[in-house]
Amino acid sequence: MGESQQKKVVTIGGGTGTFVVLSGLKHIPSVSLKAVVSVADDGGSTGRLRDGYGFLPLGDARQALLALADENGATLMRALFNYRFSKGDIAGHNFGNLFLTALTDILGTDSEAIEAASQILRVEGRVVPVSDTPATLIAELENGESITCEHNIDERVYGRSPIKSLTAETSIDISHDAKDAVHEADVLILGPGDLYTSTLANFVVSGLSEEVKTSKAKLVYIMNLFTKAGQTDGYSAQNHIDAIERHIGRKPDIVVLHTGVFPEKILKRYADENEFPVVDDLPENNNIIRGVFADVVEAQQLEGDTVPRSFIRHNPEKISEIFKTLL
Amino acid sequence: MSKKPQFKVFRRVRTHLKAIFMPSKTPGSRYHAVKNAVISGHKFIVNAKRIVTIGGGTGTFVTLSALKSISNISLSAIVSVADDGGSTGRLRDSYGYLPVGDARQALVALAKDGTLLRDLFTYRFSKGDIAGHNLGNLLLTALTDKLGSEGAAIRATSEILRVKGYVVPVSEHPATLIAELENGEKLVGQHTINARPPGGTPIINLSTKENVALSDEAELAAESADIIILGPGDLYTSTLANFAVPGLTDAVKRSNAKIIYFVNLFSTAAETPGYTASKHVEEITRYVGRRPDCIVVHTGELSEDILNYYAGKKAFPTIDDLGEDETVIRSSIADIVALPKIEGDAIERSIIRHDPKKIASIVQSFL
Repeated sequence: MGESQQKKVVTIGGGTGTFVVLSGLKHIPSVSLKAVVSVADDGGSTGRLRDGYGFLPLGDARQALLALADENGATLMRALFNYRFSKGDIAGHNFGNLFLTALTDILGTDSEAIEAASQILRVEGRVVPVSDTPATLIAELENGESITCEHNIDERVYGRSPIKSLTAETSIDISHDAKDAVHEADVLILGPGDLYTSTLANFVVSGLSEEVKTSKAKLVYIMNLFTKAGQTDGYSAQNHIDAIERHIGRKPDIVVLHTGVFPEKILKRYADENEFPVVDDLPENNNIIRGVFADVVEAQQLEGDTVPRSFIRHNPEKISEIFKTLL
Repeated sequence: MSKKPQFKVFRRVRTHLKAIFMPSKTPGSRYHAVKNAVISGHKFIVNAKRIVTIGGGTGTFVTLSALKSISNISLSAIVSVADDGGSTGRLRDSYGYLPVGDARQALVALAKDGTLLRDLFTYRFSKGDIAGHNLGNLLLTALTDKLGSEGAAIRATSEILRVKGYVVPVSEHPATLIAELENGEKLVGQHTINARPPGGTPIINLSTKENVALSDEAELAAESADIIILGPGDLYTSTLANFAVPGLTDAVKRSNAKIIYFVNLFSTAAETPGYTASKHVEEITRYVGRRPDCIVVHTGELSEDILNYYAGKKAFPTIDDLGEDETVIRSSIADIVALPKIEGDAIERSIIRHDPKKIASIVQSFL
């Protein structure tokens, strides 16, 4: 497949949602993939390293790298990249994060570190941090209060005053690579993932909204399955889209919306966290793609969880089916 | 090979069979043992000399770096499992795995030069809550957890780093060193022994707190060695720490190996205060069970700078009192290495070393 025939698909996001999309899309041969990832992570292992080193937080980059890594090669390194220490003073640290920090220190820049890690993991496609400077998020709430730091905004505080706007503490610019990626894209994909702390966290970087607004690329939004406590309480599908339009200045051209029924057990598990299925209040038209795109998956959520819990996740194969017809 | 008595061959075959068929073995280690036996058989047929270092730490690192350039040899590094200081100590405390520090240094020494992964493996964090930890140690710990055993972790790392030779922990279980002093006191733990303040009384016996056994791989390596290299390195906490594990002395005795001993350049306050070269050799002989066949001593002046630097740490050049002896090789084998204290490293690293090229040429004269 010549490069000219390949469709340039760019995801903008971070976290597990982007991971799922990338793992699905990498199997489409006619797609050249780039993942623009957030630089606002400041919790957990990434946060501890960020505090110590001041390097770009690469937790989101790490997940994107793993998603794009060759599934048939570098088995051990892939497993290590996902390995989390559970004991001693390093408990909670992720080996991949430590590896990327060491690489950044040795090679001098985070982009060289990502490049080197891409080779080691045999990554197809590219992972591009949205900025070369770490971002600290500030969420302004409707009640006038504001919350600083991604990991604070990310806390599941049900019923918290809704988020009015999201900004960066200090003004930071879009990276050249991210700018080029968006500029050249044929398709831009947002979501799924935490609306504010993963998806829109990228748009606090100055320059990205302008680039997306003026881009000729199709803007696709993969709607979240559930609301997230403290971030999107009570959000319907339309509310999600409104929030995107408010922050980016452009409406998605296409919305991918899961419409299946969830098992009772799953609903209860989410309801315990005050999280509920996103209600479909979008009009019937050709730009809204409805279908069954999600699955129940078993996953260990927390270190020390002995029983795998069930989650609902978008299914990478079903996502990639949508794009095969879209492209 | 000039003399290779039959019984030695049988013993080797028996050890291989034991490593393969012992019921306690996992499929992974069995597979490795079979592979090992095949390679071993091949090496026997082509008559590659088996060189085995016994030690740990920086001294062994230098020796291995020197030896990996020699072609057509089979190289094994038996390393101590007694480390309990620094990054290794912190990991050991929380995970209870074999201490990884000595294996890590040996792996790096034998790794293919100039690769990014090798640089990463030696990387030491200097900031935040992971300051002082070494990425290689963390990698070995993660791999041990993932793969289920230290041996599997070391083999996987050997592949990742394209290591030439084998790194073999002396035991499959972590050991805590106990040094008995002349005044009856006991020092517990390698780090405690290694870091004790100047002015202490001599160490008269070294043992382990736990009842640890020699590993099969270490037994095989030691008893089938053609050349065994001891030192340089901390006499008690690196070199002889291995012999505190019951069984190694016997395995060395069973081999017909030539033993080459590199006497340390300096005597340190913590371990060898006032030890002359012959005192070093005496201690080696006592633990190893026989006198080294060849003793290598550095001759030649050391610069004022260096002497002052070491004197500040209460370390003084080892005095050569070995006299006329045809087993002693005297040569200018030391080399000054600019080694600034690594940021984040809590343990001080010394700045004069044996020159790898000279070590290689001495060992080569025995092949």
